[in-house]
Amino acid sequence: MKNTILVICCLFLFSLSGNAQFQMDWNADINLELSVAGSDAHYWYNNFHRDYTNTSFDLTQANLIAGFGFNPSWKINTHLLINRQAAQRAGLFRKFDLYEIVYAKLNIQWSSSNTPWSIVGGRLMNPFGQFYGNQLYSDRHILDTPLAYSYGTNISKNVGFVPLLVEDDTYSELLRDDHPIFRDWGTPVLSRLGYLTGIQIQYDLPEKLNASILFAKNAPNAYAESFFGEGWSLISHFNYRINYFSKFGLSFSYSPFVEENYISNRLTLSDFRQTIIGLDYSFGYGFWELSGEIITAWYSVPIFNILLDDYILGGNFFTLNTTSFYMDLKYEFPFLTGAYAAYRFDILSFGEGPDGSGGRTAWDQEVIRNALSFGYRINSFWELKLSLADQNVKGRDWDQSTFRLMTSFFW
Amino acid sequence: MIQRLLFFFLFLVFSTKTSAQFSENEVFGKITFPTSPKVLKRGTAYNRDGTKVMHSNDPMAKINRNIIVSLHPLSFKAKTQPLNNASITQKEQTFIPSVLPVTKGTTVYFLNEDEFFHNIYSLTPGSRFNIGRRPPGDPYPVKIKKNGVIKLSCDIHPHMYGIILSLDTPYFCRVDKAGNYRLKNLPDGTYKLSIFHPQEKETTRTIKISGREKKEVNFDLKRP
Repeated sequence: MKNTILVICCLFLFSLSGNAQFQMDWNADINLELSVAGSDAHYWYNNFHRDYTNTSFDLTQANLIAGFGFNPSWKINTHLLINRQAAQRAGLFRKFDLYEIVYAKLNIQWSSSNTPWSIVGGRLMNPFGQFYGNQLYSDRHILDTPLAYSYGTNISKNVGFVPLLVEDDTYSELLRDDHPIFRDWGTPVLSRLGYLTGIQIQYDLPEKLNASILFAKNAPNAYAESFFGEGWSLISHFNYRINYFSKFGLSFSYSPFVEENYISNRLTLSDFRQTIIGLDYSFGYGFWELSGEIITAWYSVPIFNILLDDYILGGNFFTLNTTSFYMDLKYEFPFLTGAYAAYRFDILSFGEGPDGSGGRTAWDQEVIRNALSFGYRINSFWELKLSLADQNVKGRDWDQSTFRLMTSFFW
Repeated sequence: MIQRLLFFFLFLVFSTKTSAQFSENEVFGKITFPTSPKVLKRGTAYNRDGTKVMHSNDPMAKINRNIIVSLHPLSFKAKTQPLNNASITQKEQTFIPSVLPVTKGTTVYFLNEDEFFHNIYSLTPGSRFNIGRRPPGDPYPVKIKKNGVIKLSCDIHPHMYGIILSLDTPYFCRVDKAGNYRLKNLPDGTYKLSIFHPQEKETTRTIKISGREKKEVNFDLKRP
């Protein structure tokens, strides 16, 4: 299906241009990683599969990003991604079935030098915030994904909110086993990969102002499994460069966020709504760079009673909110060209929600993560990165530290 | 009388020596280069800060204005001196010029003419440097300590690609927009004539010039 669409797009573009001058813009990278994590690491908590916390050396990710230009106005953009499924690790080249090949991006773009407006349709990058701008590991000075983009909060992406799900050990087996419903427990504020299917309109004054509005078929926190998602989302981002050393962005998103197939027939997709507002910032001068985001999300969800295996109806819709903040500080060593150190402070906190017995309590546990990273670019194709991270989940004595040594080759 | 003879003799010696050192040889010619743009462009798919990729239309950013012709003496050793006023500008996410020929010891000034940051660095062995983020209008000096090709990149805009060509000879020039070049005031001798094209392999030829010779040497860099 995807290939067919691609071929059709190619033929369409060729037909548009009588004097076609083909050009391919491309970037690629391969990332190999030596990693080890604390015994309580978990894919939903720190993107580390709980069954693979021992030392291992794996292919983390490989990317090929390409833009095919056929004339000055029309372009096809693609991103082919080879990724580990659920951050599994099994040793380099031993188990290929642990990897997935994703057509993360496949869209057709119209833009013109005569107008700041452009339009893109197909599978494309989520415009929300600034993290998605660093699509390749070789672009990221800290290897871990910010909490807002990866941490699985106490919401099942299939059924919505379940009070005290993570606090009550009664349900621990449901979380750990391959339960048909709860295996997909843990909804991030935004998905880590950040690709959606839809139509995006952009207004761009280069390096000064950029505004994007995206009508997407997926929720921004849905993992990108299907080419055609469910439920329309509206996502927008406004970015403004105040002066040469500072840049600010404002993001907004409104969407349903669970998968329609799983919810009760007494509910509709519109009963599960997510609203997100984000502010991103970036300052840089000399050998210093400071950047980060503040993101607040509200979820309007019905309550799911895990014992009844059904929703509690009768107006029992709750609004849950979560706020995250992260700050990245990077310093490049002027006396050692190609070397840098970076630090990230990352916090995700939760408002109050129903506790399942008439009371109210924080609907999930506050998380604080500190990450330190050192990188060294050996040449223009090869980079080494060492990343150490530790996170603390309030009220839990968990060892969720991670050690990652990554070597990236990029072109 | 003796004094007159002595003056005449000294004049002869001086004029002969001057003539030998500063011959008026000339090498000129035309470089024919590929006109079709490169089909595959590495590192151009996106910018690291999420902004739109830009390319300048400045003539000095075009490939045909960044071909450098140099003559490297083989029969004598040429003295080189650092150049003055060597600079590379960053404008519309483009190095202008894309190739800057200099001699060893030259201080190259990096000037940001965009309204945003660039982070210029080089990872060329022996010539590694990083100037960090420099504001617009603030020239930043880097002294070139080694001969050879020094590749320039920008950490924010990975599609930006520039070259400082540090030469071991004072005899070099940039071709004009038609591909013509002319090197004057060349001493007698044998030279390696080198053509540097940023997207092609270096092309060389050995030539010999003497006695106020005007030698035409043309090159065809078109792909077969």
